Formats: sequence, C-alpha cells, structure tokens
Amino acid sequence: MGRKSTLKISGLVLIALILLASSSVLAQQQVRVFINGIDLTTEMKPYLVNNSVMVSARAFAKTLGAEIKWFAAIKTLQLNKANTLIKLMENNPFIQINDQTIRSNNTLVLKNGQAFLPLQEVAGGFGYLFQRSGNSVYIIKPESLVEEVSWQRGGQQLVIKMNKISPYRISSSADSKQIILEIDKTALAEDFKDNISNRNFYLRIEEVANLARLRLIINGKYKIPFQRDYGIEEDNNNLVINFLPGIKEIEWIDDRLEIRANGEFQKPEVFLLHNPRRMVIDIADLMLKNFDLILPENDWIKDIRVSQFKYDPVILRVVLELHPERYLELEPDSPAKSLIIKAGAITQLDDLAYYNRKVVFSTDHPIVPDIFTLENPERLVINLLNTVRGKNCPDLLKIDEELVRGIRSSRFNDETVRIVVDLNKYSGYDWRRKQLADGRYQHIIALENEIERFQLLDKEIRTDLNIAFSAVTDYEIKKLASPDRLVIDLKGMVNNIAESNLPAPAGLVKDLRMSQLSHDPPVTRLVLEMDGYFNYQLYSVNPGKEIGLSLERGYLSERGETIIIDPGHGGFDPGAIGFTGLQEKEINLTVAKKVRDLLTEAGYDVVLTREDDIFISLKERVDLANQINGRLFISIHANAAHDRYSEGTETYFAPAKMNNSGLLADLIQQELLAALKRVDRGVKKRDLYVIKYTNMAAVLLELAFVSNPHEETLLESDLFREKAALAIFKGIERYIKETE
Amino acid sequence: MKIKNKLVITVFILIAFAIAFSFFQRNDRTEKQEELEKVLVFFATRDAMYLEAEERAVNTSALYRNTMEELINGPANSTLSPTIPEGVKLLNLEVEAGTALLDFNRALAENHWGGSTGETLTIYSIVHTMTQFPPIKKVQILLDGKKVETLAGHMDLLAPLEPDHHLIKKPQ
Repeated sequence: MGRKSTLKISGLVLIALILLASSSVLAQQQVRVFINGIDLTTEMKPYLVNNSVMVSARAFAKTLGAEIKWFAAIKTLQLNKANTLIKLMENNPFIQINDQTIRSNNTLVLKNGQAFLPLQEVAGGFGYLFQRSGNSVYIIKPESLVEEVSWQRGGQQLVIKMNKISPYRISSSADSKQIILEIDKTALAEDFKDNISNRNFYLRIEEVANLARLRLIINGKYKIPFQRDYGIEEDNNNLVINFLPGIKEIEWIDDRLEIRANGEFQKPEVFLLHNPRRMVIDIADLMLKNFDLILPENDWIKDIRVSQFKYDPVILRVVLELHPERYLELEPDSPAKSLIIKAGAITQLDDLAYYNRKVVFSTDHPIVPDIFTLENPERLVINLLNTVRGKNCPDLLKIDEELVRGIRSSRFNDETVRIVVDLNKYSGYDWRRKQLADGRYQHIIALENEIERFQLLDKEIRTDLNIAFSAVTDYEIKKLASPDRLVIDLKGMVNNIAESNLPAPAGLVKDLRMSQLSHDPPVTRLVLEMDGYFNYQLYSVNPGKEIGLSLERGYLSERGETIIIDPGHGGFDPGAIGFTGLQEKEINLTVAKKVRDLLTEAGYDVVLTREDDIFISLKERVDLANQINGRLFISIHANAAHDRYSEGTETYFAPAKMNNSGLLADLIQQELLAALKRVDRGVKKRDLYVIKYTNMAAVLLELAFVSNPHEETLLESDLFREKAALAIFKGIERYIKETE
Repeated sequence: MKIKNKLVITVFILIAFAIAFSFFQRNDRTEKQEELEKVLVFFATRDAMYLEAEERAVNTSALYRNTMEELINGPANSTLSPTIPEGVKLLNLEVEAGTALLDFNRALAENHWGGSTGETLTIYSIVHTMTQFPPIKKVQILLDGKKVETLAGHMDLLAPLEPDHHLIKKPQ
C-alpha cells in the first residue's frame, strides 16, 4: 500500500516536472510576427501565453496607425482607429470592441512597464485576418470583402458578391447535401447581407481557424445537384455557383396541366404506358424539391406521382394516371420554365415520304414528335403519341441510298405510332413543322449534321483544334477554370465519334471527352481538359461548317507585387560542401542579396526568405511566400552530385502548377547560360518542395556544382556571383516584360 | 585395451563420417533453397544526368531487401556513380497497399552530398529500384522510422513517390 502511493506521488511529481519544463520551453520558443507580410518580430516582442500570441501594445498600435491611450486609474488601454474602438483592462477577460464585448482567455498584461495585448483578438477587432503556421503568425488585411450572398435566377444560382475576388475553391464534402466554398484572405463586409436561406437550403459561414480563410457551408434538404462542368464561375467581382433548376409547382387548371420549375429545363421524354393507363414524363436535369401539387377533380388525370427517377444523370419523372379515352399532349410552345400538357385528341398520320435527306409526314394536330437515335444498327426513331396511321403510311418505304436504307412505320401501342428510319451510318437531325394550306401540319425531319473531321495539333507554342461538320452548326464555347478547360457545345449534333476515334490529347490539351449533353434538342458537348491556364482564339465563323481555334498557354495575371528571393539552406544546414570547404548556404545568400539589390534599385518590391545564416524549413519558406502573396518566387542554390565530374547549370519548375513558371525558368536559364557559360543541363520539371507549394510562378536555380572543383572556384569568386545575380535579374525583367 | 581403443577409433570415424555426410546433405539442401533472381539496380551516370541500371542476381529469400543492399553497395561498372552515401543502413522495409515503406538510418541525410541533382538521383535510384517489382507502385522514404520534409533541402519526401521515367537513360 505504502509503496504504491509513493510510486504514485513520484509519478505525479515527474508529470509536473515535465509540464513545467515543457511550458518553459514553449515560453522560450521564438514566435515570429508578420504584419501585412513584413516581419515585425523585433518590434512586437511576441511571446506565448496559453498558446496565444501576445505582442507589445505600443508597437502594434504604431504599426496599425491606431491612437493609443492609457488610463492608469482603471488600468485600461484604449486603441482607436477610424471607426473602431477597442478597450482592454488588466486582468479582465472581457475585451470591448465598439459596442460589442468578447470574452477572451488572454487579456492585457503589464510587464516591466510595458503593455502587451492578445494579438489575435485585437487584430480581429480591427478587421484584420489572423493566420498561424507553427510559431509564425501573420496579420493580414483582408484582400477582399464578401458583401452579399444571395440566390439569383429563382434559386438556381448562388451569387457571392465581393468587392474583389481572392483565391477560392470548392472543397469536397462527403455529404452530398452539402457544398463547401472556401475563400482566402477575405472577411465579411460590415453590412454583409445573408439573403440565402430558403426552404430548400441554408447557409453557415465560419472562419477557418489560423488560416485567414472564410468557409461558406451550404446545406441542402436534398442532394445538391452541383454540376461539375458549370460548378463555379467568376462574373466581375461575383462568384457564381450554378445549381440545376428544381420543380416548383404542378397545377391542373382549365383542362390543362402546368408543370413549373424555378429555371429553364429541357424538353422531356414522354411515353404512354398501360395497366393502369398512364403518361410518363421524364425531364432531364430537373431536381425534386418541395413543390405544390394542385389537382382538383377532373376528367383527364386521376393521380400524379413525382419522383427523382435518377441522379446521374439527373432525371425527374412525373407520372400522370389517365382516365380512359382521354388524351393529353405536350404543348409545343410551353412558356419558359414550364411545361404545359393539354387535353388532346387522337391525331391521324398521313403521307409519310422521304426526299433530299428529309423524312416528311403530316398530322391533323400540331403534335410534337419525340425523336431520338439508337445504335446497333444505327436508326432514328420518331415516336408520335395519341396517333394512328392514316393514308399513305406503308409499313415499309424502301429507300436504299447512301444514308438511309428504309423507313418503317408501325403501331407501337394503341396510342403511339413509331416511325423508324434505318440508317447506313449515324446522322444528326433537325425537326421542323409548318402548317399546310388545308390546315394540316407538315413535319420535316432533315438528316444532317455529323462531325466529318476532328483534329488536334500540337504546334509547340500553341495547340490547334479543328472540327468540320457536314452541315452548318451553331455552337457555344465556354472557358472554365479550376480545373482549366474549354467546353464546346455543338447544337443539333449527335455525338457520332466513338471514344476510340477521338484525337489523342496533344500539346496543352491533357484530356478530351465528348458526350451527348441532351437528346432533344441534340447537343453534343466536347470538353478539353487543359494542362493549365490558357487563352484561345477562334478563327472561324459561328455558326459555320467548321470550328477552328488555337489554344495558347495563358499568362496568369499576377496579383502580388513582391518578388521573393529564397537563398537555399542556412543555419545548421550548410547545403552542399565543396572540396575546399566552400558551403552552398553562403553562396546562395550572397547571390540572393545581390539579386535583391538589383531588383530594389530597379524599383521592385523584394523580400528574402532569410537575411542571415539561419535555418528555416522548406514549409516556412513556402508559407512566407504565400502569405505575402508574392508575384514570383526564385530559389537560389548551388548543385552537387556524388561525382566530382558533374557540372553545369540547371533550372527547375514544378510542372503541375497553373502559372507561367515554365516561362520564368526558360528565361532565367537562358540568361544564366549566357552569363556563366557553363554546361547547359536544361530546364527541368520536378516537384521540388518550395516550387511545388508556392502559389506563384516559382523556379529553383542551380547555378553550378560546388562538388566540381573547377566550378567550386568559380562559385567562390565575387565576379562569378555578380554575373549570376545580374543574369537572374535580367531573366526576371524579361519575364515581367513578356507577361505584362 | 587395444580392442577397446580400436573400437573407440572406429566409433569416432563412424561419427565423423555421419557428421560429414549430414553436413554435405544440408549444404545440398540449402543450395536448392537459395534461388537467385535477376534484378535491376539503378545508379547515377557520372555526369549526374540520368539513372542507369545494372543487373544483379540476388537471393529471392528476401528479394526486396537484398536488392536494396545491392543499391547500397554501389555500382560495379566504373561509368556509374553510387547514389547512397556511406554508412547508410536499411532499418526496415514494408509494403503496404502498393507503397513500399523504406526506413533508413539518418546517415542517408547526414552523409549526403546535397544538391538538387544529387538528391534527385539518390531518391529516384531508390524509387526505380523498388518499383521494378510489380507489387510496388510507390515508395515512401522514412528516416529513423519518421516521415521527413526533405532529404537534402529540395525534394518533398512527405508523400510517396512514383518513378519518373525521364530520369532513365535511353539506350543510344
């Protein structure tokens, strides 16, 4: 018993000692404070309490340009800037920010006659963003403000109105009823308006701890039809998320049924079934939502059922259970966002004929045939609801020409006639209807429109796309980002190219796919996945029989101003070491400072990741660069290999990044080769840490080999270093001229 | 006495034969178990531009580990350079869901000569040597059992690496 408790006690003592030791280590840990990208660690005298950063109140106020007042009697510090007033009292956990009071674990501390305040709370009170990465904290002025979040187009679009767009992304959510949008370096505007929640969706906004990032979480009542290809768009300063339209109302009124949605939708597929006798209406890309059903007693429809028949692709199914011998038909000219199904009658089909690649027939009512293509064998199917065959409608019209073998017509069921056009090869089609002099309606289905040629050519500096059609085609081209892609919708076109016959990806095109976006009207969608940011130029008319466009790597507009120079290694990490003991870290820092001086003199804003012989991790280098939102990142190194014979100059860029790093690498490598006259080892693509994770155009330079005795002597000489720095400077200048 | 001695000697000789015989037999058996397999081991070219393979026959009893030992031992051909520094030991080797986890002692970083080129060739000589075996698609390098940010200050070692065929010297 006695021994056990002694053990316990000594255990507790040990734990207490460990805690003490670790807390004192924490207190001694160097915290670095960056305000708007500038390292103000020395001025701010930061230290940690409860893992919270405390800084000198006076230095902080000075940096922000806030007025500071000290009321000794009540031990209260007051900070005042523009229309923000913050009051802190010693030993009082409440911080007053204007007319709000927040409770904080950390408050005003007086130490050696100096006041220290909790940085996160106070900076936040002044509207600054707080980002922390390890022991580096960053106070950033928001780059953008979110002003309003609202539904547009009747709830089909979510619009995030900002004063300026800062980097954003849709992050994946395991919950299919949820969308998460993250926006960096942004804050809510003072008069932010949330006009968003309705009966199908609600929105939550949260700040991501330590990341200066706002997270918008949209929760839906149903699975959210967030569309990949039309996911998010930039529209001036707005971010726009598009949703599919949803059903709003179904109402029987004056002998007709109206199906209304909150957005435009495609023409449905309609078919009749028996036992019980019913009409099935499948509407693509329409979502089931809460909707009103108004179905008074009537002679046509007994009952209506609505379901989300499919999610991929999205199809809404409406089933109308019909009374006997009552006919319903689609109103061909339904107003936008709605579908009208009206009382109809049995229609007679007459005079089925074929000429000039056209299938022609007439009906005594203005019906709309349901037309679609089938393959194996290729055929075009025309379904006519509420129709019976009349005169001149043989079971088979033999044609036997290049495109069409024959046309069959048959009674599909009591109320549907089906016309099948047997094709020798695929064909697109175009349906038109006109009224004849005798009051009947003539239907003309022209068989045309297929893709005759499709080429993708890599022309080194650009990639050319060429598509030719058999008929005049209307098309729409959209350029989309994240990921970068070009979408071409070909109207009236049925996809006639097998996947295996698509051209191979080439040049800037990483991947391509073609699909039938819709059948009625037929629209074929071509999506080109690009390997990065790009621009395109169209050199054909629209509509036309050809699309010719050229794709070029685009230059991302670089928002940042600062050029970041990163001298590799440092502190306990010497980098490579030469035979005479020359250390890489020293070469890197000296050349980096020379580059900085040249750039500063030319009027550029430059930051070095290290100014002294200190160690900083690769992550800290990247964090600093991203924090400052630099324009360019240039990492300077000297190379090494096992063998002393290895020699030369090389430059790296990270291939996966969406910016102009490749161009920057090319230009600097050219300049270095011209100036240093070393062996050209080339511009190399590799995901090295600092160039992979920095958000801006970034390169890593290996000037020459420290491990090569001759190059070591060169690297040691001041003249060689001057030449290297000047070459890097010239490369940067050329790059800036080319991209501006 | 004499007879006794003779008997003792005979017994000794018999025992000696028995031991020798069983020894030979065992040797025979072990040789049968030692099946050799031809593998590729990737080293750096002397200009440090590429990786080039040497063929080795290694014992299949611990195929992956024996292949790595050949890489650690360095090239036989004088036109190639070693990629693994002095004093490096492979502490552990496991394959999990297509990723080989290779745990080296810290000598791999501490004795490394550095350079983006040097580091790249070291890492990818390991990656290419390991991924020649079809079950291995990626390689994760650990030092003393832990993931590290980098080996020599350039490459990102936090995530597993796949082979990069641009580094393999094409036959002339």
